[in-house]
Amino acid sequence: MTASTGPIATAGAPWLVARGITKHYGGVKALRGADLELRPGQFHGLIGPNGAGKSTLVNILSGATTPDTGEITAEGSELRLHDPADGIRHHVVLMPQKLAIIPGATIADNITLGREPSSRGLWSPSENRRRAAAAMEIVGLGLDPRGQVSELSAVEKRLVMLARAIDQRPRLLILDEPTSGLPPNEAALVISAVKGLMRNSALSTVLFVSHDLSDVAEASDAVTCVREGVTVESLVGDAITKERLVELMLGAQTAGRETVSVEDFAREAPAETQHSIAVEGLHGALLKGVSAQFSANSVTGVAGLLGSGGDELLSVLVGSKAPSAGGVLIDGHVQKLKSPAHALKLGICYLGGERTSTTFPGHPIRENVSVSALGKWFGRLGFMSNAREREGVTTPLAALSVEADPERHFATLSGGNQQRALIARLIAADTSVVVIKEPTVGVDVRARQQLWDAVRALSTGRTVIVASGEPEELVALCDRVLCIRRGRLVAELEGSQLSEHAITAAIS
Amino acid sequence: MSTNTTTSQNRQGDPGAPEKAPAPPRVAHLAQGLTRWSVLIGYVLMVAIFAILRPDTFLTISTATNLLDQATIPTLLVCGLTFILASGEFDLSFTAVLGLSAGAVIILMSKHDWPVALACMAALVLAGGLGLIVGLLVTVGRASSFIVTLAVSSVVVGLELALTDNKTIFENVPISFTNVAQQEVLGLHQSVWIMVILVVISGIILHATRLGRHISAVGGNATAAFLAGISVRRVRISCFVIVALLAGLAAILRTSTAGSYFPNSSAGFLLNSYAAVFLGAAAARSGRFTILGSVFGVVWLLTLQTGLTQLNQPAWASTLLQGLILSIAVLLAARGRREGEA
Repeated sequence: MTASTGPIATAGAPWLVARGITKHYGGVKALRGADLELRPGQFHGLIGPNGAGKSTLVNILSGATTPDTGEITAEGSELRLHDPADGIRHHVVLMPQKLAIIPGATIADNITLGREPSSRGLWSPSENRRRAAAAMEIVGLGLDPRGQVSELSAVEKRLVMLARAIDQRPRLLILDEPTSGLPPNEAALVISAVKGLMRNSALSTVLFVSHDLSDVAEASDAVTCVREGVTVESLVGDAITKERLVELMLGAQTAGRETVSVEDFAREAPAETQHSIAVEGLHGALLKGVSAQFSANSVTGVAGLLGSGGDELLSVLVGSKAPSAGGVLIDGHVQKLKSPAHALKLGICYLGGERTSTTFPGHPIRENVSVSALGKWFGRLGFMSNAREREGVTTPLAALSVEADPERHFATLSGGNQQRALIARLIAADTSVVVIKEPTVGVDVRARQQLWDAVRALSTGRTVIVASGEPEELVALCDRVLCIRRGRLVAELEGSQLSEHAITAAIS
Repeated sequence: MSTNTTTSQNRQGDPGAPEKAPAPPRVAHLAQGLTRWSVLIGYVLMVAIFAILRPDTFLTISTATNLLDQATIPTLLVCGLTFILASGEFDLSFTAVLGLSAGAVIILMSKHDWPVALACMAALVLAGGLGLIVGLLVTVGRASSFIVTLAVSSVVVGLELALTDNKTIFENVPISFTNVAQQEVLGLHQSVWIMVILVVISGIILHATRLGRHISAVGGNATAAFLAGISVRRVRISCFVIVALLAGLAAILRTSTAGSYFPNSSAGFLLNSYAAVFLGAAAARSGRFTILGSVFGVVWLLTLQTGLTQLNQPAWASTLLQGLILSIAVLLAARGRREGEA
C-alpha cells in the first residue's frame, strides 16, 4: 500500500485479508476468530446482531484497537495499524457511526480536520477551502465551504463526514451505520454518493456496516455476517437477498424460552389505581404519527433500529422530550409530560439504557435504589426516616437476590448485579407504569435470563414497556412488540406472530 | 437499538467482566482510610505542636472561645458552599453577596433609620434574590456556574461600592443590632449559638431530607438524576438560594459583631471556604461533601491560623500555608472519592 493511485491488484483477488482475529475486553470475548476478505471494487456489507463483534472488527481494521491474535494482510504483506492516524496513512479510513463533527466550526474546517493544510508552516485558508470544495464536489454537497456546520441538516452533516473521509484519500472506506437516523430517500443519497466515489476516485473498496438489511441487500455485492464473535458466512452476488440476510443474522433458532415464575414483587394494587397509558398521533424529530396502547399486566416491547424513532417514543413517554404533535394519554386524558420528574409523579418510572445515564457509581447501593422512591418515602416536609429507607430498599434488593451490603458503593457490584439493583429501583418506586430501555445492557448470558425473569415478574400489576435493540430479548420478554421503522409503527406482533424473524424483518 | 454495544461496554470499564475490573475492596478501603486519617492525624499533630511550643496560651479556654467566635462567619459560608459543591456546581459569588448584604443592612439602619428586624429581613431578601438570579442563570440560561458566579460577583461588588460609597460606616448603628451577635448566652456570644443552630439545620437539610438526597444525586450524576425523576433545575436553584441566604445571615452577624461596616472586606473568605470544604470531604468517611466535614475543615484552618499567630509568624506564612493546604485537600478529596468508587 504505497500510493493511493497505485494500480489495483488483480481484479477479483482479495487485497485485504483478515484471518483469525480475536479480541477480548476483560473476561468478555468480543471476537473469537473472525475472518474477512475484501476485494477491489467491492461494496461489502457487514451485518450481525448487537454485540456480535462488528464494531470491534471495524475498530481493528481501522487501527482504533489492536487485535489480541490474528493477522491482517494487504496485498500479501502484513498490515499493522497502531492508531486511526496510522490507518489513514495506509489509506484505510473509518467513518464513525456517531456524528464526529465540531458544530462551531466551518464546513471546510470540519472536512480538513486533523489534516489541516499548511504552507511554509502556516495554516493556509485558501488551500483549506480548495481542498474542502474538492471533497464536497465529489460527495455532491453543493454548499459554501465557509458555512457553519451547525446550520446543516442531518444528511448534510453525514455528507460532511463523508467528505472528510474522502479528503483522507481512502482506498478502503469503512462506513459504520452511515444511514442510521436518516429517512429512506436521504439514506439512498449517502449510499449513491459512496458508489459514485468508487467510480471516480482511488477508493476501491467499501465496508458497509448496517442494521438496515434492506439497504444492505440492495447496495452490496458481498455480505459477511458476524455472530457471537465469529464470521459465520459470506454471501456474494445474487445469493444476497433480504430474506437470506435475516436468516443469517438470527442463526439457528434457540430452543423455546423458559417459563418464569418469580412473583416476589408482584404489585398488589387494586384495579382502580392502575393507569392505562397510550400515545396518540406522536410526531417529533423522527416520529411520524405513532399511536399505540400499552396494556396493564403485560410487557410491551418497542423494537426499532437506531434512529427509527423508538428511542424518541420512549423519551416522550417518560417526559424527557416533548413531541411536536400528538401526546401521551393517561387514563384517556392527554397529559403534557414536562419532565421525568413530572412523569414520575403521574406514575411513570423510567430506567434508561447505558449505565452512565442511570447510576450513581460512587454512591451507596441504597441511594441508587431509592432515588426514584424518595418522593414517596419522605414525609410532606421532606424529612427522611432512615429506617424506612433501609427497609424500603432491602425488600426489592432481596427479591432480586442482590446480596451485597446496601451501604457499599454501587460500582463495586458486578455488571449483572448492577442491572438487577436498578430493577430494584423500579420496584421501590412502586409506580403503575415502568419504562425500561435496554434492560440487559452489559451483562452476560446467565445474568440475562434472571433479568428477563425479573422484568416479566414486574408486569404483575404494572404496565411494563421495554425497548431493546435485540429481537431475541424482546421475544423472551414481551407479550406484544411494537415495531417502529423510520418513524412509523409498521407492525404490532403478539402471540404466534411474535418471533425474532418477524421483528427483524419488520424493523429493517 | 444500537450497534455500539461493544464499544460502550469497553468505555464503561467492561461491566461484562466485573470481577476483574475493580481493585480488591480491602486495598481500596485501606487507601481511603489513609487519606482520611492523614487529615485527622494532621490536626492532632498540629494541635500537639502548638501546645508544646506555646504551652501557656494555646490550649486554653480563651483560645477555644476565640476560635469559636472567629469560626462563626466562615462556618455559615462553608455550610452554603457544601450545598453547592454537593450538587456538582461552583459558586464564586457568595462572598460578594456577603459584602453587599452587610452594606445594605447597615445603611438601612444608620442612614434610613429602618427598624433592626426589617433591615435584617431586607438584607436576607436581597441575598436570597441574588442567589435566585444566579440559580436561574445557571439552570435556565444553561451558563457555566463558574463563569456566571464570577461575573455576578463583580456586579455585586460594584453595587456594594456604589451603595456604601466605599466608606466605613459606624455611626448610628443601634445597640439592639449589635446585641444580636454580641450578647452572651451561657458563656458564648449569641452569634456562636446562631451558628450552631444553622449548622444543625444545614446538616438536617443536606443529610436527612429529600431535598438533600436530591442534591447529592444531582451532584453524583445529573443525567441519571434527571431520568430517575428528579427536578434537576429546582434542586440547583435551591442550592444557590441556600448559599446566598447563609451569606446574608453571615453578613448580619458580621456587621453586628463589628458594630460597623468595612467596604469590600469579604473577598478573603473565598479561598478559605473552598479549602475548608475540601479538607472536610477528604476527612469524611464517604469522601463526600458533608456539613460536619466542612465545619471540621473550618476549625482545622482556624486552629492553624491561631497557632501561627501565637507563634508570631508573619501573615504571608499563613496565606501561603492555606494555599498549600487547599491544594493538598483537593488532591486528597479526589483520591478518597476515586478509591471509594473502585
